[in-house]
Amino acid sequence: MKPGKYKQYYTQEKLIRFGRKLAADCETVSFDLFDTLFVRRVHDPDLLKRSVADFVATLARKRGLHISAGKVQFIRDTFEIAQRKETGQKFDDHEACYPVYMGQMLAEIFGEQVNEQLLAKVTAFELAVESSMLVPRQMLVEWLKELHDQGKKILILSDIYLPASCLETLVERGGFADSVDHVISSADTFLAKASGKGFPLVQERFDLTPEKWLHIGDNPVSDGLRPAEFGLRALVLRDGREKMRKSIIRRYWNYGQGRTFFRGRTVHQAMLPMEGENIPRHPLYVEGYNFLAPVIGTFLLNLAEESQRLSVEHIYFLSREGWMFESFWKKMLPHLPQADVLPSESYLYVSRMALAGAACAYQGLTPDNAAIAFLPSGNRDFRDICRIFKLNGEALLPHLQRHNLQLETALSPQYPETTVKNCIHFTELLEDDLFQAEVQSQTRPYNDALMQYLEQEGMFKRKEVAIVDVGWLGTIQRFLNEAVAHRPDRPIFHGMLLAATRGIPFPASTVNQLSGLIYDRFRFDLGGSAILYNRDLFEEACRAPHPTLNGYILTESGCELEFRNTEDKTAKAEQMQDDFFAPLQQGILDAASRFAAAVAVLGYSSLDLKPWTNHLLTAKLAFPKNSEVELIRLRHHLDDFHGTKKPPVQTPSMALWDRSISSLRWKPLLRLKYYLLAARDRLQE
Amino acid sequence: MRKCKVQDECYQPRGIETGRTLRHALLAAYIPMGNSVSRIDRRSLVKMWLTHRFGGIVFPLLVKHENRLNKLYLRLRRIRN
Repeated sequence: MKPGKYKQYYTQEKLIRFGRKLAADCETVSFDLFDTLFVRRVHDPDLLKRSVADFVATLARKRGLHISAGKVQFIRDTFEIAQRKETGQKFDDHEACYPVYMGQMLAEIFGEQVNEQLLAKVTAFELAVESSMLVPRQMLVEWLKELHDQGKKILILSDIYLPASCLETLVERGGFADSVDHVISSADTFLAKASGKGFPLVQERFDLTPEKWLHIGDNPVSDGLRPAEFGLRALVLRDGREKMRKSIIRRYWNYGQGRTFFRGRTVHQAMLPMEGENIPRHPLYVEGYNFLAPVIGTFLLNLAEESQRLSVEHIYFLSREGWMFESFWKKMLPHLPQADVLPSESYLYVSRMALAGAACAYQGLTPDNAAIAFLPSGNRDFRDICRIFKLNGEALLPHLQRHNLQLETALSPQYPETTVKNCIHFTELLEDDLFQAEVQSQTRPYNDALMQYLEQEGMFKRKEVAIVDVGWLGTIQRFLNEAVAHRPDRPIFHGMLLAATRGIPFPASTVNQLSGLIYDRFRFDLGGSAILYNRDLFEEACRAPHPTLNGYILTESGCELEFRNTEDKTAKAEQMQDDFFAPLQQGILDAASRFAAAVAVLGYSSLDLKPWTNHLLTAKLAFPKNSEVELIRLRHHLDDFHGTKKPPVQTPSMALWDRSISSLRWKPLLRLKYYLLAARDRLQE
Repeated sequence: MRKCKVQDECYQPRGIETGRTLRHALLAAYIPMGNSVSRIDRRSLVKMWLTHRFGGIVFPLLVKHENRLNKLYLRLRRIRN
């Protein structure tokens, strides 16, 4: 190809193949940046500005200035248009320079409170948003590195409002800054490729020979016609598949403007891995990324909104499922414009077993707590009560005998030997002051140890805290509330669960509230109730890679945590399940930052994403494919509350996810039948 | 276990393919799914299914023959006017 000509190619492979032949005779190769070396996850680069406007509005609110994101965007656009008009009078290209008009915008909004750090902070956020939406085009970047290794001079030329220093940051984050010699932006000189004035400037600055200079880009005029007019060789990439990808997300975005169902779908599309990120993965990784991550992301987005609404000071993620929520939250936070005003967070080591005893220290053993203890079928008699609430059965035996009970008397309704008479005696026992005094005395040390731990965690320095857990009855929050109820400096608990099934009435009060964010039995939500098909999946997917907590031990230096033994058969089975689900957890965590970036750029709230979340839950849990059931079905699930006894008549589980693969395969209406039964149950509730 | 990509060749999230979504959307016509998928949504889903499925063939042709198609469009518009 002779100098002064340009050619168009419709695939990267063909462009690179021909480009290699041309580059052999060239000393300099320049690339366009956006839509050539980088592609964007979203179709419209202006969508990123809304996220920055939200960020500026949040900063203004923190400084006591009330301005909406829409107004911020309007002021930005006004100053940018004014600058473009001004530069258009002196230069052919109507270019703008980001630091100039953004500085003017910030001065307009913040007045005397504006300073250099403010512009730097806003610029850093804008670059972070840009980086989150940019993906290096793998084939072209690899070719760029190859050319650099061959000793060619590599330049990046871009027509954009961001100065070269900002573009260098983006290139560095793209991972190919080492292979680029110089980055040139039209924002620094107001001379752009579009008018053709950019090329003489670059030629003069770097003393280049046009005949030995190859330029690659995506715009037929800026990257094809203009360099050709200047005497360069130019190659223009017009990728049909890239156009298809952009068209898909644009259509989802357009549908989402009117239909809420498509808003979540748009976020899902924008968060998908692209180019070098989209490599073959373990099937569980894919399930974690495409199914669990959007559900957990919507839950945590809702948590952020509720925390702001309730003016929560701190968020406690409860072990062990809170580990995944906290990890996901930390990855989400840098991308959210309102991150500065969100509460701090920490991980709280708790468990039902660790808190049960402490909950009895001041109120004794309540009927509700005893009923919770007998929910698992493995718990039968008072020995199980003693195991769960850390009571000394022998010391309490005289009290039991006074009420015609023994330690082995069956008290669980799931056992046929449980009689009405014994249940009445048990109720009388719970009303016995002497019995309750003994229970309180035995459990006081556990409460003291718990108080020490909570003081270390700063629980009592705060007025309102959020307690975050996976679900389902809110038992941990119940026990925690009962354990701290005697303290005048106890905070208000705002319990936020992934799903609240409310099987046992929760003792809600002004200081102890509970709600399910994805599903709550108190709200009719047929779509969200699909989570009930496989609750254990969420527990196993979110569980921390450390054993469950058994209790707290008071030491001279403070409080130590006592974890479950990791050497027994149950612990080894749990470890096996952890190893099995490790790719799934990795998929969830890898999706976290992309989910948050997509939500921030598209400007959706958790309510906007709810229809899509409902759809994901229904499609994956209520109507799973056979392969999905085989893949995701749990190998092992530990319940530390569960005793070792077995009721004589045990009905085998008939849940959909416990059915055999053959019955799922050969009974085509089975899923529909389960769904209709579930719908009937929800309506009856 | 055989590995697979998170996003398939049709730019769909694997496991949540548009065709599957369409089947559930049709189901939702008869069973409320909570924030039900409506008739307009189902029509949009059909369009998106077609885009995902056949876009890999159609879009490269659209880009390659853009000039010809633009001329054809302008000619048809002139005829209509």
